[in-house]
Amino acid sequence: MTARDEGALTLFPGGETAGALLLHNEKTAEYGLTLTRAQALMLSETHRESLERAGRVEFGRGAPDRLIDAFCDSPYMAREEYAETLCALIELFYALKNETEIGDDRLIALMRTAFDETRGAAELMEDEVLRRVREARG
Amino acid sequence: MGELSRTRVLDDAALDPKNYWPSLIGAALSRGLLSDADMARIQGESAALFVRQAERLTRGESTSLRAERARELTDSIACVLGASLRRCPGADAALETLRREPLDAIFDRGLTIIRRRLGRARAVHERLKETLFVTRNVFYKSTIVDGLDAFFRLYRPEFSAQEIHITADYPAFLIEKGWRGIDFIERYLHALSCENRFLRFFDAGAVHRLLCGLDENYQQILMNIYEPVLTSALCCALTGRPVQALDADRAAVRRLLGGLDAAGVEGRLSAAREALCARLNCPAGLADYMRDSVPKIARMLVRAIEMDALDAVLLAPYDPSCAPRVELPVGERMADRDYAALLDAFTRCGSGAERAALIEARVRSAGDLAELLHDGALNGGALDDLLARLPAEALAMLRALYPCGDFLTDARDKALYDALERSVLSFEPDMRRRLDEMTAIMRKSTE
Repeated sequence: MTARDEGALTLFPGGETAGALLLHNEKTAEYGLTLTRAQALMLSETHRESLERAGRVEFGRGAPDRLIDAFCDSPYMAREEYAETLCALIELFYALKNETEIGDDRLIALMRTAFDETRGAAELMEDEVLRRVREARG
Repeated sequence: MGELSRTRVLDDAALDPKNYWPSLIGAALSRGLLSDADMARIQGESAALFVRQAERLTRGESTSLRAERARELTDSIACVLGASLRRCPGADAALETLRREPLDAIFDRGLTIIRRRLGRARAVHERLKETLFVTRNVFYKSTIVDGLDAFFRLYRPEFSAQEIHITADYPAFLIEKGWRGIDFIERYLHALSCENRFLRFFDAGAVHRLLCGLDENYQQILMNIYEPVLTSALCCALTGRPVQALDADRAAVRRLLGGLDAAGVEGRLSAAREALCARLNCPAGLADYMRDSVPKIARMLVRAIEMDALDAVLLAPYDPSCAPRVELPVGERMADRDYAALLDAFTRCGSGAERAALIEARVRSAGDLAELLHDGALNGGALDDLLARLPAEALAMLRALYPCGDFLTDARDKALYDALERSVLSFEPDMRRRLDEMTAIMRKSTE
């Protein structure tokens, strides 16, 4: 097996690469949303830090990738705050993964619904998502 | 010459069977037996194997895991790879397999091996449950039956091969530390099976009495039962006492083994073990387990003899059912009106004989007696006279209620305590010992 750090598991070091994130611009441009190189680097760093803060290891398609796909067509995604909103969503995603332990797709769907319900107020989403998860669990 | 002429490159003895995978990689790397290309391939395949297992673990619903769970999964994969490669005929063959085969194939073979071992372990467990020695020790049955049942329910070698999921509370006598997962369970079951087989040679009652010699409440003590029974049986065989009675001659043991070192004691016990195995007609596996147990028993006996504490290791059977019983109830007090009348009559008695007769006729509880003696306010001489006429059971009860005079503040309580002490001192040693035993029983019953 690959060598392990005593700290964070380094099987998959770093988050989504900035280059991979920039590729999304092709699709998101139709919604007026694009990332600059600096923003893509910031997102990549946020991804890595969020994983570390949440104490998680990623082994498949990264969350930023899927969050961009899921949120780019939201009418509440403001162009001026696109990168910052994505950062907040990435952090929230991993925090909620720890708290809810539900599947990625379901969580992202709940986040999107909460995002729209709160009209893009990412800071209000967490409670809304948790409420919906609790409801679903009965 | 073929195989015979091939030089061994890796030393099998230098590899750690409990952590075979990292041990093999480390040994191969340190001898330069894995090239950079080999390592790159192994690392790439390791990562792919982790991803495969993580996807299976999360049923494809997550692309991340908590770091701790990821570490456990990594550990599990290493455990399975180790189980697979340990089956190769030597470390060199294991290394060759690693060079030739993809890691996921080695892993899948390891899973198959573990599952087969799990099936065999389950069969051993079923046989053990069917033939379980009957003991009142709660940990014996609860661990062997409930605990191990839980292991077989919870163990998932594909994701947690290194776990046992249970606290194997009952301590087997011979179990090497450091084994994990199915490796541990196999060894634990083997030890328990041997110990259980040995115990079944003896009457449950005889074992019960032997363990009561340690503590009447051994039922609640987390202890190994095989150890004191084997020790006793070996010492019986050593000193010519009937083995089934489990009542060794401690003085003879002290004479035979005192002054010997551990090796000397071991020699004597080994001979006793052979005789014991022959007498009991022990099966080969059990005889081997007993042979391996002798050194530990020898060391314990040597230490116990040196510290003059042989009783703690070589137990003397004790039958609690033969212990004296005190029938005087402690708590059934008479009605207040009746007590008032009794006290009035007591204070008008003119002699110790009259008071004793009154007590015998009308007092039925320890509480009432204690209260009467307190409220009766007799002087020292009258108390002494009365206590001398009371039965031993009544004195035992009073001593249980007044165990110590240091903290008594009431003058009448102190007077009664002092009178009790004087009364006990007047008894013969045997009677005093009996009184102490009864007092201890009374104290326990009031706790």
